[in-house]
Amino acid sequence: MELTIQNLCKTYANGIQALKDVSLNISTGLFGLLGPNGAGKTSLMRTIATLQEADEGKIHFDGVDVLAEKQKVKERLGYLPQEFDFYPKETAQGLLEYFALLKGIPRKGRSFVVEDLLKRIHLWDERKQRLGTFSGGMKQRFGIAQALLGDPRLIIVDEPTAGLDPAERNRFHNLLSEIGEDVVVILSTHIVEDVSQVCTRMAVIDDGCIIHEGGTLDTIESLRGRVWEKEIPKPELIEYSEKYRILSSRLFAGKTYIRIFSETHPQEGFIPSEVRLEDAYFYFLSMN
Amino acid sequence: MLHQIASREFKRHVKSVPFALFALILFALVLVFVVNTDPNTVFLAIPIGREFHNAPLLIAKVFAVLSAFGMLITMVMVGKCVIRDFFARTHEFFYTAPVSKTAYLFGRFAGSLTANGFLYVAVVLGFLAGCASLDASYTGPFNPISYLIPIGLILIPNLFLVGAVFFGLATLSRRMMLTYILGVAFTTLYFSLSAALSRIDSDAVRIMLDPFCFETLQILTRNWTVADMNLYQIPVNGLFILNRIVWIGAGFAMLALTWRKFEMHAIHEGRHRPSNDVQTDELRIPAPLPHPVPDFSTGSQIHKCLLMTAREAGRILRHPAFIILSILAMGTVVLNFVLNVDSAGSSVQPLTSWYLRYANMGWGFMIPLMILFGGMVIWRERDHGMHPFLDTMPMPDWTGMISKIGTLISIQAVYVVLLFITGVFTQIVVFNYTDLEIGLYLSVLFGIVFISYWHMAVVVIFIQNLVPSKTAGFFFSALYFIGELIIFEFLRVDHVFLRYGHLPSFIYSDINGFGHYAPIIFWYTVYWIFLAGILLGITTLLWRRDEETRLKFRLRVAKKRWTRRHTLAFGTLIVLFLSAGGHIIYNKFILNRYLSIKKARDIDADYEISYGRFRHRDQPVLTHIGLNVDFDTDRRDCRIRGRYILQNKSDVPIDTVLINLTNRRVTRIHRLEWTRPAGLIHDSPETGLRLFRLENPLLPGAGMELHFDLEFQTVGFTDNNPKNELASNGSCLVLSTFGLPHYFPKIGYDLSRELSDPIQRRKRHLPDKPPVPPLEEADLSSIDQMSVFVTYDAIITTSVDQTAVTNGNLVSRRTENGRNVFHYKSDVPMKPEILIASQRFVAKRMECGDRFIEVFYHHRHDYNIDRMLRGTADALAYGHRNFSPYPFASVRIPENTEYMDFGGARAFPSIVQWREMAGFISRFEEDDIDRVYFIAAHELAHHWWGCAITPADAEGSIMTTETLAQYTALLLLEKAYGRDITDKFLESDMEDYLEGRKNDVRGERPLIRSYHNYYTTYAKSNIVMAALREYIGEERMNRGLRAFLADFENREDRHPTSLDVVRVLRSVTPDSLKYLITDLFETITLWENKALSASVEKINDDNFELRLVVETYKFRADSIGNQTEVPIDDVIEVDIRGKEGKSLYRKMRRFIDNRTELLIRVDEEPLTAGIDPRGLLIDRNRDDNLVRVKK
Repeated sequence: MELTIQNLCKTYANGIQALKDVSLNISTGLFGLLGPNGAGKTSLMRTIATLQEADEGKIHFDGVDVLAEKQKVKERLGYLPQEFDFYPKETAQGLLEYFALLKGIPRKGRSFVVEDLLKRIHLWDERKQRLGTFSGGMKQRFGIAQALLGDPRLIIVDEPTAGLDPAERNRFHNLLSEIGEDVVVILSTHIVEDVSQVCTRMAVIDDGCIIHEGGTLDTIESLRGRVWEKEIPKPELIEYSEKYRILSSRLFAGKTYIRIFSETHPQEGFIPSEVRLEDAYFYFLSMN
Repeated sequence: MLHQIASREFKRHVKSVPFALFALILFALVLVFVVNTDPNTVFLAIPIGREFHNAPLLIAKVFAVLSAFGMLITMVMVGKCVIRDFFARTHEFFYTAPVSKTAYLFGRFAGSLTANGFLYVAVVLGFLAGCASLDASYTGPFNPISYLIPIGLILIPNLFLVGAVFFGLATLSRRMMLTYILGVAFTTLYFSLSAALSRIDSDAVRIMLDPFCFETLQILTRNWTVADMNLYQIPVNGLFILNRIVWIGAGFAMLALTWRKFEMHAIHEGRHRPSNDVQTDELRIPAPLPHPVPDFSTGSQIHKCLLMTAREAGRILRHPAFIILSILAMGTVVLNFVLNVDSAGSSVQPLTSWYLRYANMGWGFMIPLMILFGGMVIWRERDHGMHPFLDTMPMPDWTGMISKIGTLISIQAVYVVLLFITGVFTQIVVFNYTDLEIGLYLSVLFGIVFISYWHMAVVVIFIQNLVPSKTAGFFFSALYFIGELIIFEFLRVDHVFLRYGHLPSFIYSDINGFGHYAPIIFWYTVYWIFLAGILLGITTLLWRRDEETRLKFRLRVAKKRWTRRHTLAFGTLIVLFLSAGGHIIYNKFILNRYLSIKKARDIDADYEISYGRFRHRDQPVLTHIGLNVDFDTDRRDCRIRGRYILQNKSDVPIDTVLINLTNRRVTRIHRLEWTRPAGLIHDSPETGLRLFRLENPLLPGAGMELHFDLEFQTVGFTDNNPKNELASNGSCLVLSTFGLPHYFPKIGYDLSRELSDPIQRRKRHLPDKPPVPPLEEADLSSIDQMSVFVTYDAIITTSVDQTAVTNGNLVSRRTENGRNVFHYKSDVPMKPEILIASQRFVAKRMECGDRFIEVFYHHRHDYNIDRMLRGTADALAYGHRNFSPYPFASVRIPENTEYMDFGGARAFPSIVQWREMAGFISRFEEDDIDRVYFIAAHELAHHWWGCAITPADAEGSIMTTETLAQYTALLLLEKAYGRDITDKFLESDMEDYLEGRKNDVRGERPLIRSYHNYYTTYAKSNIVMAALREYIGEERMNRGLRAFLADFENREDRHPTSLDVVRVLRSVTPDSLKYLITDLFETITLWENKALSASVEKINDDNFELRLVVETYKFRADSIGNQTEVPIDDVIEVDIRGKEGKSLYRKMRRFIDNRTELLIRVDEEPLTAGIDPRGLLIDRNRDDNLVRVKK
């Protein structure tokens, strides 16, 4: 079971080219799609989730032509969009049961499924509460429960952790990692940690193009021994940036640390550093 | 601070696009209103007659109406002025700024209200522009006061009130939707209740209940003439001012409440409940359990669809807009049903068919419901951000569409069931009426009303699915409904098969049910349902299930969705739709020839142009009519064989004879032959005129016969001038000197076909002609088709369950070969005005001396038969005794279906035709005027005043017929029911007269020269004849009328005019009262009688001396009501009453001064005193005729 994307292109009415010849192969397991805001992640997710038309290209999932046989895709799809809300006056349980009904889950197993999901997302105690009173994190969890209804084979989760506090994010990662191994799960995000924590494979998208694709560990491995770190006085940042390929700079306890990419040891007080996925991400972005 | 906020707000509005748009709309509305010179077209619900188009009263009315309609504008401009901060999410800035609540609230309010008022400058400009573009004769001089008074007293208070109410509602609820709904509800309520309010008797109550002052203006100027309207500013009296104070006070109260309740807090109410979502056991996620396998079968999809529909419909049914609008709709329907009156002004039995007429008013409420909820259901998921979930649900596209349309149809079903329950409830509880026709309820409400609502839902869903936003959808939906109304109602496009969802207008008759309209209703319904299917199919194909908004992509998606099944379904639907449409067109245009109103007028114009030269050509006239009529009531066919005996009664030989037949009715002419050699020299298929040339001219005094055999077949159906004369149950053929269609050959030039509307005549280049010839030009002596008397013989056959009725005596009645055969005959010569009716009748008979009266009626319509019999019998006996002998042996009164479009009832020789809804179903309470009795007496009186004489065709001819029939009927009503009832009748006639003369665009004329119109023909006739009778007495009156009959009865060569009536009445009037003849008949005369004061001095227990001061003035009015005072020398009744209304003194006294002091002795203590207390004389203010006596 595999999701194949071939030469996908999409241009919006305002002339913005959201997807430029995107091709990807995504097999089962958690797949991270990493990219900055506006890179085309949501366009790609929506297209896979049958919500958007492509200008060119093909998408196949498990023998189904995604762009043509939408109903068949929908029967296997679980989707958590980037932007959504729920009817504020519905209760969590009520709405999830309604969703279960619409997903075609037979009446017999419906309440059992709803109970199972609500417990898994830890909203069982809040099942009688109105969704209008839920916090952002609760809504995201509710959203994933909704996406998990009916044992989907393809799950698309679009920017689920944006705006969540660390605890909620962690909780969400746990939820995702629980999803079975034989399901294609695509997690689109601009937060590197999301990918590094839960995804085994990943791709980086920028400006509508896939600029990197590979295993998460392989990606990190590819930079081994070429990332260096140094504490510098802040005013010298510009000098350094002219001199080196800076991957990132950050402040820590009032001091500025920079991380650079270099094939060889740059000396000048740089020390070799453990490669993080973030380094790879910035590396690929800067390559583009 | 307040000032700054206000001026900012004002500027913001004035610069905005909607402001310019609203101003433009107001300007255009007023302009169109002012420049409209066609009195038949009414804009802004204000009719314009002959008054100046910038008359002060009109200006005031325009301000009143526009400030009421403009409520919607005020709602947006003023209502929204504070809560818009909420919508823009800028409220937190303002609430934290150093602005006081007072300044913030009232600054905004004042600024936007001022801007709102400023908008109405457009109204003034509209008037100025309109007047400038009109011919000077239509306008009066510009007077700024005429604008300032209504602006100050009507516009500003109205805007303030409406503004304050909606400002308060919106600001406190912070929900604009609720405010809009209430706004629409109030507007609808105001206009639907104003009809009901107008039935309240107390003017003071009505004025006080009138927030917009429109009704007030109507009341205060009720008796104004055109001249008054041109001359005077609007009347402002104490009640008017009090009304303004009260309603402005209400506005201030609302503002004060708003100020008190309003708090500058960001959050309205504690809606958000912070929830505890801290979890400690976040890592302990239970292992996933296997889910049951989802079911994607069609059955499951249908089940989902039903559930979605039920959920959505449930939401709407609880929505305040639905509840409010439904209650309003039911209220409007019930109110109108309960307060309904028939065309004669009587209450009506609470029949189911009558309720269902009013149930149609529910239509007006269904449109806003559909626009509102159509948008709401289509956009609900998107509005709530739920759409990505639902769009990706494993459901086929049709489930979404079907659940949405299903939702709307479900609420329509609830609405229709409400209409049903409301009707049954009202019938049972309010009227205690249990003769419910449940079958009729179901077929109308569910077979017609409900289905017609579907199409509104289809349109709204179709539009909302196409447009990019809900607002756009609202706009285009509203545009659609307004647009189609304009196209089909105002532009009068009469092809209903182009008007989606509409049925042609049809007539329901209790007697014949839906009758021949049933196939029309059926085929149009089927036709529209197929189109609805196509529209819904398109909607499904374009159904929005993704983020694509551009039509290009939607079409691409649609293309992808297209399968062979679609081809098949669409193909079938289109074929079915076109077949149904084709069937309708085939029936309307091919089987039955279509004739537009315009084309019909063209043909009439052509008739006048081509054959007008025969207008005064002598023609042979009828002396005998013999008919053989066979009705095939099942097929609605008819065969007429006949024989006319004609004679040349002129003094010249006749060589050319004209015969008219309505060719659109006649299927085949088997025979149309003269008993003399004659050649058909001209045959016009369009006009139906045939010209015969006699080989040897018909010499004066000579006779000949016409034999004819005509076949009438009904094929298919049509909504264009359908063959109503031949109904399955209710056939009715008329052989008459006037009116179409001609089922019987009509000899001579048909004057009644000449167009009378001056505008239509001018359009077709026909010379202007007066509606009727002037008195001076009346033809007083020629013998024509209308003036002759004929003998009559008719054999009518019809189906075995029906009875045939016609003029004359029933000679025999038998059943032969399964058909009823009736033979009627009249040897008494009568006017050739013949009615032949065949229907399933029940008959009730009443003997009246050696004559009898028989009413033939529909078995359910038995409510008022006795009143009819009594009225007819009384009139027959009275006329027979006092006027001249009644020559026929009987009077027959057949009830007619609603199809016949004459007024209420119509007299023929020895027969009276009476329409079902104009008396048969009237309902009377204890003290009601028995109008059925009155009509019956009136119609029978026409035997003398109509059937026995031949009035000359001239101005005032109504005096020889209607005036005298009214006299007879009122006299009999008084004998039967007493003076209190007739006084009540006369008071309502007085109101009708005073109202009618104001609105007569042709201008009022004295009775002697009056045209036919309600307010003079019936109302004024009644008033003046009652007055004259009161003055000279019944005996003298009748003496005069007998003399009149002696001159004209049964004379073919003498035609009376109004002058003859006046002559005989004058001859029986004493010299001292002869002035009255001039005042009542020959001029338009009004009196102004007024009792100023009355005081009493007690002399002893049996002697009281009353000092009464009265004023009396007399005026002559011209056609638009300009009055000229004339000196008084009149006899007027003086009346003094004691306890319990006991009459102490009533005498006619002569007055020669405008002001008179009377000293009268009475023997009991007087309580009231006055002059002409019963209002015998026409007086615009009858309320001041009586005063309370002071001690």
